[in-house]
Amino acid sequence: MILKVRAPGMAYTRMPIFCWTSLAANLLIVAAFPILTATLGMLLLDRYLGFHFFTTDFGGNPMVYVNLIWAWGHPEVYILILPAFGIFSEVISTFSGKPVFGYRSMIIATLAICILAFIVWLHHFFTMGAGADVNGFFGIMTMIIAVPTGVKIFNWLFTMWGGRVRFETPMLWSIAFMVTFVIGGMTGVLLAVPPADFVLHNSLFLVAHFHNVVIGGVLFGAFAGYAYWFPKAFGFKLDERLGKFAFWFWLVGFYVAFMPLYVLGLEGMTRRMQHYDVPEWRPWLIVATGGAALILLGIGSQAAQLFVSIRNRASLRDATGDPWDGRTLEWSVPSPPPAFNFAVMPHVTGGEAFWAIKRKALEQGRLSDPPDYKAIELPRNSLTGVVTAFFAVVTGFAMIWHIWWLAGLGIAGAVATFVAFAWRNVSGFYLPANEVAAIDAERRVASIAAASGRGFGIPPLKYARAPVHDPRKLVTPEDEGGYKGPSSQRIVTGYGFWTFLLSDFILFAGLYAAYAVLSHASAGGPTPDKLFDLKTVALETGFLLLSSFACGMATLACNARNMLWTQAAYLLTGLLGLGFLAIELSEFAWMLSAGAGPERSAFLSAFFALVGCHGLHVTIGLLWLGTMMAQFWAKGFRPDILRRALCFALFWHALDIIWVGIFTNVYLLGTSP
Amino acid sequence: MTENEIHDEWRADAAPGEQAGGPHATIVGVRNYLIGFVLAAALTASSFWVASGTALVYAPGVPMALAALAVAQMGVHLTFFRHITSGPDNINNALALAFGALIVAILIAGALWIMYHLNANMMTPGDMMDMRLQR
Repeated sequence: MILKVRAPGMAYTRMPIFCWTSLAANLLIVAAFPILTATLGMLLLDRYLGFHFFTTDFGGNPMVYVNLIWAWGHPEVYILILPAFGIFSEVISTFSGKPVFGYRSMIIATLAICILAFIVWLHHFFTMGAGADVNGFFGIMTMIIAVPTGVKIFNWLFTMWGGRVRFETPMLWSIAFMVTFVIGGMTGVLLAVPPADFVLHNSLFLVAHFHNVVIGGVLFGAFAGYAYWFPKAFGFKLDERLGKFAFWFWLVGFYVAFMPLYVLGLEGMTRRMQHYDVPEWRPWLIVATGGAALILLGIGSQAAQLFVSIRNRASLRDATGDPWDGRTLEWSVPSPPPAFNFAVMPHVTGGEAFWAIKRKALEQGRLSDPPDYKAIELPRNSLTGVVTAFFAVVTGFAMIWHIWWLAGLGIAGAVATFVAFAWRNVSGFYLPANEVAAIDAERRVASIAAASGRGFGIPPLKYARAPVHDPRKLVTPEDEGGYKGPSSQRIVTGYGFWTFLLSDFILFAGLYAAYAVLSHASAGGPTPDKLFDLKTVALETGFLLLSSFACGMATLACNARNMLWTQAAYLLTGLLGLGFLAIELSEFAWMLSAGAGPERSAFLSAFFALVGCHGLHVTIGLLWLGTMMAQFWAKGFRPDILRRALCFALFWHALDIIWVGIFTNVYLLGTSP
Repeated sequence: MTENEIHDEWRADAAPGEQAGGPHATIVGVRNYLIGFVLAAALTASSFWVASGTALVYAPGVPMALAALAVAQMGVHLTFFRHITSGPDNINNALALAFGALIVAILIAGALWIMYHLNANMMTPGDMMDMRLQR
């Protein structure tokens, strides 16, 4: 969305820093979470089907698990902190009344962290014996990642410097963050030195360090963002007095609770102790408990703050939509924002778009002329996400307790919900221009009142304004002679799916990383060169390549809107895919009957997981293909189904690319002399 | 900025996998898929031939040759089947791809490097079991 759906003129170098840090965090999510998926998948196979990835027998190796879980786990901590960095940038700039200092260096620092986050993961297991070369590399990378973070700290300081700083709660959290995070960061660099880590690892020093950065960074960031954007989301501010109570309890409580842990760590206290018998530790632990009690008071103040704010919401009402004298566009719309967000598309001409609009309005002493409102297309609400999530929870519960029929039911329910959603005919509706104009007029009245200093005299806005019309009775995009939405929807859909495929590649990379490590761990069982038959693999590959070609023909037939050829080419695609699957399954069946099943050795476990995952993808592709052919048949070449066809082609061709990797690395390298 | 200019901004981008239109789109398209298919089939055949132990390829160089052929074939699939170009309308698609490739490379190379050193310095659990059994 950040890459593809920006307002006209909103160039990359004009976006708020929060958008940049969100973008970087989402890049990390897309790239890191598939590794977790692959790792948990392998763990699941170990525990439920007797595979040998991480076991201590038959060639399995628990360190493969530790390695993969941290290859996800370390990027994950930057997924936590980067959005918080963005929140602090917005808050510090707004409450200092200045643009962010060093805007471009902020972007560079964010993206540098985004890449470096992927090459530091070994620092979580320095002491497991990787040796000096590996420890040295990862130690140095870990120290380097502190540099862009330092750049950001200085930028925030310089943003405040010379500004008129307002000490409201979001800003208090931000300043506390800067101090606390610097301390946590410095102990982090200390831990990044491998020899020091050998002394400090698994001690309370480490515990103090990561609470120092996660509470002082992520949590304070979340609290700053909560206080800052609460009025935008709900239409009234949070009680400032209780907010300050909460802040001071939290801040003092944090230092009292966690600074003693550094001392305890240096005195040799390890983490996760059930009891201890060292009298010298006792005073420090009592102090830390007192700190925890202070934090509890802070949490109590926050609960009270929410309660009091809801009770006093009339007097805390944010009538203008701009309670903090904001600089970015979200403050230009009413609080809470209407369903369409912006009544007319804002045209951006520089950084800090809303600040420029406000300056202009104040100079000219009036608002810009009422724009020419148009009907706005809005999506329909859907319960699909919630229902699918419910079935997923059911599946998870059933798996934990080995209730297999319930697990099957959960998976079937989730898939059925999704297919029903894909089959929908009406996805959106148009909000008529006159209603858009009416809602926007209220905002303009409030702005004028605010500009002329009558801030509190104006009548409060209706709470959480909903459209007057019943969406079900409005014109839908589909009624209006076919689909008329922006052509960009195809680009957005295609790009979204493209990103998904990249995360899928990384999932396979995780499975392959395990295979590459374990491929020699045949534990006395069959080795690759005894097991694989290249003729079968060549035949499989032929089927898959032909299927891919047929899929290309189907895409062309779709583009030419020829139903007969489309269906015929898709049918051929499916049959060839089915042929591939049949050969693969017969190969698996032969191996199982020959006693070369996944439970025989770690090598075979990794083989079945990697190649089986590809086969599972082919199976899902075939189900998808069947549904899509039915949709084309029933509904014709509708744009939303054509978008799915584009995604299907990307998916099907991606399976070839993965297969090229598999037949080269698994089959050919495994059997070549 | 007028409505048309906004739409121009959108047109500057292409969806991944989108083929260029035009009056002969289908013919050009079929030709592209055919070229891609022939190239892919040829590269696959070469891979299998190299791996079958031919005397024409220096044996220790086989893995390198296979890697080169695999990368070439992935490139063919990307170009002719998934229509990724180096044009300005494909910058986002290519950047996303490059990022994905970078992470895949880091993950696999890192895992191999780390696990090699771990296994060389420490005893793998299997070896430890063997020792216990021998005792």
